[in-house]
This record gives sequence, C-alpha cells and structure tokens, in this order.
Amino acid sequence: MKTVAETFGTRRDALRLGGLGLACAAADGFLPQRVAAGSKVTPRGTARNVLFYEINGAISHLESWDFKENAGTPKDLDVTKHRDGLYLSGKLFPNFKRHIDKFAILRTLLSHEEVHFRGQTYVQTGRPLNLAFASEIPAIGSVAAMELEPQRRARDTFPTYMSFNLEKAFPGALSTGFLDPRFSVVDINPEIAGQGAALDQSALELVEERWRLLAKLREAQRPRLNTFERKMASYESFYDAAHQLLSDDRWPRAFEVTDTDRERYGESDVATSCILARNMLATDAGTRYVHICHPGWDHHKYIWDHAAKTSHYKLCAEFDNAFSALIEDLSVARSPVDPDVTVLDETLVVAMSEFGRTPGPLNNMAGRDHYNKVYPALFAGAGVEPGLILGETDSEGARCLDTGWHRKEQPRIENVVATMYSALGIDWSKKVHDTPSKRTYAYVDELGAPGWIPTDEISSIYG
Amino acid sequence: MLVASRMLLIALVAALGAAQQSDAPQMKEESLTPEQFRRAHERLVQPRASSADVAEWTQRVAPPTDSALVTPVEQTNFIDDHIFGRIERDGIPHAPLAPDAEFLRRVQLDIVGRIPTPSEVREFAADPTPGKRGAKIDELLEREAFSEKWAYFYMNLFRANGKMGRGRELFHYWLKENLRSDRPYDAWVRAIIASAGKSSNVLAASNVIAREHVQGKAQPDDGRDMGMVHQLDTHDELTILYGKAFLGINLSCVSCHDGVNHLEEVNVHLTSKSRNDFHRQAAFLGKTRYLMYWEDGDVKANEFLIDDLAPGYDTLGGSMLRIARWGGEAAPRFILGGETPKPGENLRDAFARILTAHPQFARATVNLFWKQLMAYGIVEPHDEFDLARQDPATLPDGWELQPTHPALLNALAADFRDSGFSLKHLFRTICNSTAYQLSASFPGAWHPNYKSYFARKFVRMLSAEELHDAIAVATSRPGKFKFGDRTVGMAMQLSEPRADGDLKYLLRTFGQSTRRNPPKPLMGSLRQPLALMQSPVLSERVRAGDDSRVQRLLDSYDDDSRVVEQIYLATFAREPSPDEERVALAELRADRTKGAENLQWALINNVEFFFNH
Repeated sequence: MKTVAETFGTRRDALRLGGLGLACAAADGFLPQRVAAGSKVTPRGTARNVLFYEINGAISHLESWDFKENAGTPKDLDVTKHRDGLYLSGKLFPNFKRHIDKFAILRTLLSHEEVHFRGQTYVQTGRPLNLAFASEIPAIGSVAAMELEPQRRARDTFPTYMSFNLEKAFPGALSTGFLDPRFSVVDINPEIAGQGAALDQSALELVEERWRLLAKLREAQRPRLNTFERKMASYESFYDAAHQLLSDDRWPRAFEVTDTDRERYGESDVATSCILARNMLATDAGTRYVHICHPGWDHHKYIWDHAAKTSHYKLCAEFDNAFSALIEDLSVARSPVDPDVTVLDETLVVAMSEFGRTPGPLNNMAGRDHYNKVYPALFAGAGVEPGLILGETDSEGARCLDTGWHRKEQPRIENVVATMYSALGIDWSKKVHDTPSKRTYAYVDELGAPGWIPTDEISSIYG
Repeated sequence: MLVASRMLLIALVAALGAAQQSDAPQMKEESLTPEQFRRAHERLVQPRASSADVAEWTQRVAPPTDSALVTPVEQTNFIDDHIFGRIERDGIPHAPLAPDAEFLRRVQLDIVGRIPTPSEVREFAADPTPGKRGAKIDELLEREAFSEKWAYFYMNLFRANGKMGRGRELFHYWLKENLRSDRPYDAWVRAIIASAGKSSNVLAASNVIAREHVQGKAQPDDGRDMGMVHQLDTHDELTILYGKAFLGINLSCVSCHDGVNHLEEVNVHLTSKSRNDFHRQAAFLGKTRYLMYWEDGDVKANEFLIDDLAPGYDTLGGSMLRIARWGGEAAPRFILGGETPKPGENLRDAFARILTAHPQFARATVNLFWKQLMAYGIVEPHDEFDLARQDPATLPDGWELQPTHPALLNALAADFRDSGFSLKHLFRTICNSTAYQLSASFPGAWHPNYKSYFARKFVRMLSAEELHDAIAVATSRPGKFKFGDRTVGMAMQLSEPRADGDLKYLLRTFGQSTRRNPPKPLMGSLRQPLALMQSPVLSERVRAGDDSRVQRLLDSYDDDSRVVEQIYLATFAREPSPDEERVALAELRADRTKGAENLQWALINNVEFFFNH
C-alpha cells in the first residue's frame, strides 16, 4: 500500500509543477487517504491523450457500424459492401467511409442500463449509478486528470480534462466526486464558443485591466479576508488559475475557427466541439483527456423523417462531417513532442453510445427504442490496429455470437474504461479506500450491477 | 434477533423521549438550568477509548492563549443555551456578535435570497431600536421574495421539471401559497403523500408523484395500458424520496439489498433493515395507481390520474431499475416505528399520518433548515441520518455520535412541533439566536476542533440563482425572464431554472440545477471564475449606461469618494476600508467612468461577494 504522497505527489509537487496545480486546496477537497496500487495489471501507456466521442442518446447500431437490413430499413441508404464483414451506407457516411479503415470496430458491447440518465452516467463514470453515493463518484476524466497531474509541465495552463457540450447530456458534466475540485472538467458550451465570445481581443484586454484592479483590491482586503474561513481565501486560487489561463495567448487562439474549418466540419454544435477539441490537443498546453458529447440520438419517433430536426439522417450528417474532419486533422497533425508521429498516433480515440436501439421493425411511432444486449464502439489511434472488425452479432443485430475478445462474456463499459486508463499508462486496478462515505472506490469496478464482471482492457483492438 | 430488539428499544426510547419533550416546557424558549444542561450534555464530553477519532472529537480543547479576546455575547433563546453551554463548558473561544451590516446581508440572503440595497443598509444602521434585528427578520418573512426563494428551494428538492407537465406551475403556486400563509408543514407533507385525483394538472400536491414516476414504456399499447408508468418502481422511488426529504434517511441501499453485510461501516441503523422492510414501507403505496393520459397513440404532456384501486404491493413484479424483488409478504409497515394502518384506513392516509407524527419527521425538518441557515446540519449529511447514533445512551461501541448537539436537535424539533409545524416560526427561532448572529470573522487562530461547536458563523457559496439576483440588486440591472405572461427580473421568481446563452453558461457553472439530475453539492471550480470573469452578462450589468447603478452614481455624485462608498455599499453591503478606498479612488481618477465600472466588476469577482458570511 502506498501513501497518498507516493501515489499522487504532494501539494508541494503540484505547486512546483505550476499550472492548474496552483489551484490547490479548494474548500472541502478530499485526497484519498489510502490508495492500494493494484499492480495486477501492466498499463500499456501507448497514448498521451484520450478523446472520447459520446454519441449521446444512442445511435442505432443497425444503421451504422453493424448494418442489418430489416423491415425498418429505408430504401435510400445506398448500402454497399465496404469490405469483408463491413457494410456501410454511402448516403449516411459519404466522408466517414474514407476514414473507417483507421478504426477497430468492436460490435459486441453489453450494457446493463436501458435508461439514458443511468446509461450516460455509466459512460462518464465507468460504473452503474448508485444514488446512495453518486455524489462522491468522480468522472473518468477527473481521475485521469489526477493521475496525469505529475506530468504537467510549468508551461501547461489548460485544464487536463476538457469536455464539449457535456452540459447537454442527461447527467450534465459530472464533477470530481471525492477528488479535489482542481481535477474538475472544464466544459465548453459550443453555442457560445462558436459565437466567438471567448476570443474577443478587446474583451480579454478589459479582463486584464480589471484583473489588475482586482489584485490590488484583494491586497487591501487581505486583513479582512484573513479573518474569514480559509475556504474563502483558498477559493482565490481558482481565480489565479483562471487568470493564468486567460492571460495565456494560446487559450484564445485555441478557440479560433477558420472558414475552412467550418466548410469541412459543418455548422453544427458538434462541429464546433470537434474543431475546438482538435485545437486543444494540437496546442499541447496541458489538455490530455477530451470528452465530446454529440446529443440528440434518441430516435423513439420518426427516425427516418427527413423533416425532423434530429432524424438519423440529420445527425449522421453532423457526425459524418465533423468526426471525419477531426480524424483527418488528427491523422495529419504532427505530435508536438515527437515529430515522427501524428497526434492520432498518440491519442486513443473512442466513439460509442450508452446502449443500442431495438432491432427488427420500427415501433408504432416509426422509431427504435432502447436496446442494451449488444451495441458497437469504434477505437483508433495510439497503437490500435486499423481495420479490425471484432465480434459478431446475429442476423438481426440482436444477440452476440462471438464476443470479439479473449473472454466469453461480452465486453462492457468497464472494459472500455480499463482500455482508456491502460492506454494513458494508468494502473486501472487501483482502489481508493475510505472515501468520505467509508466505501472503496475501484478505478474499474469488478462488481457491476449484474454481478462480478471482468475488468480486463480490450486488448484485441491492438491486433 | 438481538439487533432487532435493540432497534425496537431505540425506537421506543426515541418515541418516549419525544413525548416527554413535547410536555416539557423547559425545552422551549426559557433557559436551561445548569442541571438540565448538564444532563443533556454530560455524555457528549466523556471520551470513549474505543476509537482514537472519537476521543479526539470529544476531547476538551485547551483554552487558547488569546481567549481574553473573546467578546462576551448576550444569549437570546434556547438554541444559545445549547450552543454556548457547550462552548463555555469546554472553554472554546467564539466569534463576537456580527455587526449590523454583516447580519443584514446574511439574513437577507438567507431568508429572501437578495442582498440589501444601499438604502436598506443605511436605514438599518441608523435605526436605534433595540429589537431591530428581530423586527427585520419578521419583515423579511412577510416579503413575497421569502415564498419565492423557498418555493424555489422546494422545487429543486423535488426536482420539479417537465415531467410534471402543466401541473408544475400549479405546484409552484401552491408551494408559494403554503409558505406565504405559513400553512403547517405537516399538513402540506400529508397532502403530497396522500394526494389523489383525476388530473395532476389541477391537483397541485400530486405533482411530486408526477415528477417521480418511472416511465415503463415509451408508447401505449391500448386504452387501459397501466404499463406506461412502471407502478412498482414508482412506489419504490417515491418511498426513497419521502424518506430523504421528510425523514432525512436514505433508503436507497435497502431498496436493493438488506442492510446487513453491506452497511456495517456506513450506517448502523440501516444494518438492521432488510429489503423486505423496505418493501413493507413501499407497500403503503401499493394500492396506488399512477395512470398516464394519452391520446391518438401518443402520451399527453405528463398528465396523471392517481387513485388507490390497485390490489397491493407485489414483490413478484418486475423492475426496470433494480434486481428482482424478493421477500414474500409486503403488508404495509412503517420502517421506523413499525406502525400499520388502522382497519379500513386508506393506506396513503395512514402513511402520511404515521410519518408526520413520528419524531424523526420534525427532527429531519429542523435539521434541513438549520443546514440552510447555518451552512452545516447538526446531523451531516442531512439526508443520511443514522438513527442508531443519535443518543449518547445507546451509542454503539466504536462509533461517534452523529449530531453535534443531540439535545438541541430534539429541542428544536419539539419547539417546531409545538409551534404547529410553522416554518416561519422555525426561521424566526434560528435567525434570532445569537448562534446565528455570530460573526463569520474569527479573532485569533481557528482550530478545526471548534467546528462542531458552531463557534463562528460558517460561510457558504451563493447558489447560482442567488448570485444572479445579487448581481441584479448590486448593479440595479435585473434579468429579463419570461414567466407566464409577465417578465420578471430575479432568477428565483421562476418556477424552473431558466436562462439563455451566456447567462445560462454562467449559472450552470455556478451549480444551477437542471432538475434532471440528483442534486450535486455546490463546489468551487476553475470554471466559475473563468465564466464570471469573461461573462458578457456581467460586463453589461456593470456598464455605465441606461439606469445602471454605476451610471446613476456617476450622475448623482461629483465626489469620487462618494461613488466608491456607494459601490461598496451596493455590492458588499459595507463601506470600504481606508486601504480599499485608496486603491478604488486611484482607479476612478485615471478614468472616472471606466474606473467605476471596473470597481464594481472587481468587487463582484470577489469571494466576499459570492459567499454568504
């Protein structure tokens, strides 16, 4: 068993490392008291970054990565055999079909959940929602931010964990739980960022001018503030970190969206999210874990109605433009730390939903309902073998025939999480004892809602 | 068996204790005699060797060297007997009484959710009447903003969102009326639990059920489709909600599994509860039917018929949220006291009657409001009471007491019950106490051990809505929120969290709930200053122009120091210190208009502004 300092570094280290480390010591922040290093597993460490693309609301696997023709399939999808075992709709994915061969496709995920709120919480936290102690459960990105903090360099000012449009997910952008608030996500609302609110130069100069006054007033106020509870004074460290970020000219530049970007990525919110995510990773200013939320896929009704604002056609078009352009850009950009590889080479990209949608004919509202028995995920970058197709489902897309990895149980979200931790070099068998509610928090929990589950990473994506 | 009988004993003791308290006038407004105080508290200060933590918690803290600095305070009501009784007994230093300006800002934020205007600060300071604090509390409790703030609080607690359909507005109105007229709290809780009627759109109290229902399927099959609402899961969810909101107990764990072998290190009381106990509690709702209206093959905007014609709670029924139920019999039995319905009594009427008569109902309620007003509950977390750790006489080995002041909690509960469950009385009692009116500024060194003594006023961050409304008052630029057919200026006047664009982003980062999620504790984060410093909304509100505070001050006063003083009064509800005034004046001299705008911006981007202290 290691001590806290051995595992996470001390506060002094955090201060020395600068950046967000300065934003230490928030009000009632909790650092794990006893951390049991697992050492049962060997993290792969092939990725500097993780980019998680959440297809939020659940994409129909039957009309995307596990195509199954059925009574509900429209005639205009222009489906062709892409290669052995992979059929793709040319109408839905005209761009993405040029990039899908960069991915390993796993078709056999199993979810326990059938309700969005619970399923989307699962996606962010890697475990079933237990309302009894939900408030102390951190998001995976926050755990990653804590683990990666010792790697932050003095010049890193951007938050380690950034998300885009997660506020639109049912649970919102989940917080740090029992971890220190300095590992919190910074969620960017693309509606606002897209309007350029974050990059107005004169507004930034005004903030700087006002900051100087604020700093002087704070000094004059110091004797008074010192008599209040310490949590007020320590809150000011968030201000210092925020100011450091705002006065770093890489920050506004990371919000720049060119006309060419717009043409390639599209006009949607998720297009903005993808452009900004690309910029954050390319800037290499400390952001290592990115979560993009693409909401709206809950197609209970009128899934094929061209007039509907969120039909499968419409959302696939958003995805096809934005995600394809993102993958293209990441696969071209050179790594800021190793010119021999691309940013995609050092970033594990995962794209998936919280569950799938009902196979067979459409329901009586011309839609598809929630389905958790089998659904797919896409993996690319960071050593993932391109072009793999893992696992097989039956002719309906309703049951798993071959799990596609080394176990006979179907893989679950827990295993996707283990895969992401492993890629980042994080020992995912760690456990934190004595959380505030006196429970044990496992990075990847072997006790899922349906009983014991394997916590292995999905190594088959590496070939 | 042993455990069960011990629990029964505890329940019996609790019930007897409650009965004694309600007959015992000494627990009310009059002071405790030293003997009464000793009896109420003696067990608290006896160290228990079984656990080092407990010993540390209960040890007497050595009087600090600067205890001479402690300003004696006058004690106001029975709360102070308990708080200062323990403080004095253990020689703990405490903060002095808050000055008028500090008290006024605090009590306004707490009762009506708005900071005072400069004229309110001046008038209160100039008022020489000795009882002016009590009079201010009375006046605030009669303001419309009191019912608005606390209706908003309850709307958040019940997560009143679109699932209520049109009934939400009615429910909001009903809450405000209950608060304004000070309807006995037990009566409105009974109405919520037992409401039945043809439409949740016209039956205000039934909208908690409408909100909490678990949808069974997305589309109806035919005209008698009970499965649109998952009946059993809805019983379970409501049981958990009522437990948390009205009894302060968390039944989520035992809704899936027995407490034993799971909760030994978490909650002693719940280890004695089985899943069957939970089912028997939920069985009070077993005859209830939640029927969703639908038309033309589509559901109608969340409108429900609620009646009591179902056969009863069925442990063999399936679940969408939990592992399969077991346990056989599920005849209604109250999970705390073991009471059952009277012959022929409507099950939900029985549940409502038994719940509101149980001592824990009043205890949980006073603790909830104590937490809202004092920043920490006497029991924390406020909705995770461990009922085996309330009484020093029956405390299990190796555990610490859960309440910081068990006798005070009981006294507050008895007083609340004797007042006819008057929430306004409860506010009055707490806010008039000297404990509430202590300063948040603590002279000398603070020791963590002082925390459980409430030896100072603890600070709390403003909620997102309070922050917006405070900015609105400080800048005299309210928001523009559509509410029905009118426009309102304050976020807490609304029935739902609502804001657009930049303002929405700002409020969300400060923890505004969407009411879709379970409530999250408000925590500081980098996102907040990032949002507030860049906020175009804030820049616009402090801008000199139209009728903004800054513009009016610049127009009214030629003297820069008056402008500075007024901006401080409007934003911090206090005057600037000489050092602060010097810095601010230099800013105005460089550029009068811009300087004044910058000054208010810098004060709003300041912990003194967005904390209540």
